[in-house]
Amino acid sequence: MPTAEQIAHYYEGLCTTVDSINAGKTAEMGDREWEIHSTTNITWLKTIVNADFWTDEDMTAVHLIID
Amino acid sequence: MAGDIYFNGSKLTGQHDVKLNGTNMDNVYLNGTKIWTRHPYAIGTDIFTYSVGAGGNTDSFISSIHATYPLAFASTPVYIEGSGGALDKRIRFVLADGFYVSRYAQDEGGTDSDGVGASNTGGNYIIYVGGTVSGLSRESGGGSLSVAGSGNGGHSFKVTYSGQ
Repeated sequence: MPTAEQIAHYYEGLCTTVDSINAGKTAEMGDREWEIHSTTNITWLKTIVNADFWTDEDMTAVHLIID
Repeated sequence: MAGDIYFNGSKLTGQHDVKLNGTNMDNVYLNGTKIWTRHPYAIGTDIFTYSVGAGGNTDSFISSIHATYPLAFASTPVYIEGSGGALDKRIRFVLADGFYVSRYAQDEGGTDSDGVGASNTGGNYIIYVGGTVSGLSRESGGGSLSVAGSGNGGHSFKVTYSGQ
């Protein structure tokens, strides 16, 4: 089981991923690159949101993407 | 390993050799059931670390990593999209039982090194490298990686042998 510090670290990474998806395709990104990037990370969000190590983290932004 | 073999009261581990007529055995069966397997590496051995930057060439994973550590793979890694020189490419690889991703670090997403994957060896993985992003994702076994499969910049991961 991850430590509290690790959980905070993973949550930060999760929020970074949410921000990346919400920001949309950047000018440097090709269409195919964005398609794979967003699809891969949405799939990951659907899984990681159900991880058993979360405590009281706010997952509202995640659910707005995956639900 | 489905069972243990004792010799003079000491359990034979996978690091011992079991010989039959002077030849080392890889597996020992009793009544059709595998009861002992020789470990290819010491348990806990870090097998390899692979790193690639966004836009980087991934040919070396197949030509070098797989060729050097074939026992870590259940099959030959293959491109499922693009190739080494393409802007977007994805490699699928399958780890052999007993091998797991013990560390995954993505420049933007952070580092997963909690060893969650240790209880879930083998499995299908995808290496993705685009022009500006890259990452590693696990196709089977779900959330064994606690860091997203694609993010800005490069990424690296380490494969370790657990013997499980």
